[in-house]
Amino acid sequence: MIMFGTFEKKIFGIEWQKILSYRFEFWLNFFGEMALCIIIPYFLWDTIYVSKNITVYHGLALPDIVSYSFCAFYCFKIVMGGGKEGSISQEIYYGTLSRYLVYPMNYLFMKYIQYMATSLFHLSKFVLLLVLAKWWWHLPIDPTVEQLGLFVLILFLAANFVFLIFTINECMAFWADNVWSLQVIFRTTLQILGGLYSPLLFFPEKFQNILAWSPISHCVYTPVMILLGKQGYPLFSIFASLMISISILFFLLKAVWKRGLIKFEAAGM
Amino acid sequence: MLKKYSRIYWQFLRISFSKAASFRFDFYFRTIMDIFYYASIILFFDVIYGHTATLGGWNQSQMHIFLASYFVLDSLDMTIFSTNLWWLPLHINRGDLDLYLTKPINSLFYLGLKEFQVGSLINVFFSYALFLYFWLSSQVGLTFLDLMIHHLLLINALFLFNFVRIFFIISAFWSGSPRGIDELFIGFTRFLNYPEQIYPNWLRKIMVSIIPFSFMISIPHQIIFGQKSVIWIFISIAVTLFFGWLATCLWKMGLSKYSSASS
Repeated sequence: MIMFGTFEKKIFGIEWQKILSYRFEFWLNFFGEMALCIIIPYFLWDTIYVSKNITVYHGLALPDIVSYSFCAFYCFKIVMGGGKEGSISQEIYYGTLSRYLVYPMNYLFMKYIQYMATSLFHLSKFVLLLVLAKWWWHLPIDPTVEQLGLFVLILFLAANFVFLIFTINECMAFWADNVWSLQVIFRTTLQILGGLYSPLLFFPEKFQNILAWSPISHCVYTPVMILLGKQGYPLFSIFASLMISISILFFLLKAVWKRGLIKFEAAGM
Repeated sequence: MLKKYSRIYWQFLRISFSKAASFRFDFYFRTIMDIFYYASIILFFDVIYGHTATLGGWNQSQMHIFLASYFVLDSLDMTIFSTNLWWLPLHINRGDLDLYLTKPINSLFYLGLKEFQVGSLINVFFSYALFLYFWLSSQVGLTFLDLMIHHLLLINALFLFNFVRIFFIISAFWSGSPRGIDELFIGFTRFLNYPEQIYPNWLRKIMVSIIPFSFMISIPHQIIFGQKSVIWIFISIAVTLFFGWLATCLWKMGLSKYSSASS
C-alpha cells in the first residue's frame, strides 16, 4: 500500500534541494523571469491599448492584462511541474529503468511525487513573487480566500492532467526512437490554447465555446481568471472536463506502461 | 586553414546524416513540432491583429514577414547550433570536455558545430517558403536588393544570437551548474518575437548594446521597410564581430577555470 510517508517526503526534499543547489543561477533566473514576464506583456499590450485609444478591453484594463500575463507565466510553470523532457524516456533508452523495476516501489508514483514536488516549489515561488509584484508594481490581484482555494484546487487537477499526458508521451519511448519533439508539440499546444500568451477572451467566440470543454484551457486561463476575480468558464464544465480527462488518461497510462514494459529490453545493471 | 575546417565540417555533416537515417521517428516529429510552433505564433499574432491595425507601426503583412524571418532564424539555429550549445554546459558540468580540448582544432568550433540536426533542416526550407510567400503576397513593395540585405543580416543574426547565448552558457565554468543561465537566455528570446518599436527608449538602448536582440530581427526589418538607414547594416555586422570576439575571450577565460572529471 502506498502512503505519503518518509520515502515521499525524502523525494520532496531532494527535488527542492536540486532546484536550489545552484544559488547564483537560481536568483538570477528568479528576478530575471519576474521582470521579463511583466515588462514584455506591459509594453506589448500598452501599444495595443494606445493604438486603439481605449482603457478597458473585454473587461480587462491594462493593469489587469499585465497581471494576467504575470500569473499565466507562473501557472504554466506550476502545471508543467517537474516535466523535464527525457526524464523517463532516457531511462528507457539507456536501459537504466531496470534498476527501479527491481525495487519495492512504484516507479510512476515516484515520478509523480517528483513532479508534484516541483509544482509545489513553483507554487511557493509564485506566492512570494505575487507579494513582491503587488508591492513593487501595484498589480491589481486581490483574491478572496474562496478564490484562492479554487485556484489551488484547479491548478492541482491541471497539474495531474499535464503529468498524465507528459508521462504517456515519455512512455512512447518504448516504441519510438525519440519523444522529445512529441513533448514540445504538447507544450506548444498548452501554451497557445491554455492561454499563456493571451487571455482566451480575445479568441473568436466559437473557439472559446469549444475550449470551455477542453481541459487544456483550464490549465492556465481558468485558474488565472479565478485569481483575478474575473468571470471565466462555468465551474461545472471546468471540473467535468478535468476529472473525465484525468480518469481516461490514468487508465490509458496504466495500459501503455504495462504494454511498454513487455517490450522493454534492459541493457544490464 | 579554411580548407581544413571545411573538411572537418563535411565529416560532421556525414555523421549527422547517417544518424538521422537511424532515428526516423525523431526526423518526422521534429518537422511537425516546428510547424506546430510556427502556427501557434502566427495564430497569436493574428489574434492580436484582430484587435489592432498596427503593432509598433507595422501592419499585419509586415508582421508576417517579420515572423517568417524569425522562423527562418530559429530553424537555422535549431539545425546548426542549438543542440550543440544545449549540451555544452552539461559537458562543462560533467567535466568531460577533455576529449574536445585535446583535438588539434578550435574547441569552440568542435563543440558548437559537431551535431547538425537533419530533422530541423526540413523546417529551414519550410520557413523560407513561408517567408517568400509572405514577401510576395505583401503590398510592402520590396526589391531584390532588399531581399539580399535581408539574407545577409539574417546570417549575421544567426551568429550574433549564438555569440550572445555563449555568454549565458559559459557561467557554468564558474558556478558548475549543468545549464548555466541558459533558461534566462530563453526568456530573453521573447524579445525577438516583437518589433523593438513597442519598447520605450531606455529598453531599446539596452537591446542594441548590452543584450543586442534588436540587431537580430527588428533592425534588419526596419532597414528593408525603409525605417532605418543602410548605415545600420554595417553597425549590425560590427556588433556581431565585437560579440564574437568577446565570446571567444570569455570562452578562453572559462577554459582556464575548467577542471576535468577524469584522469
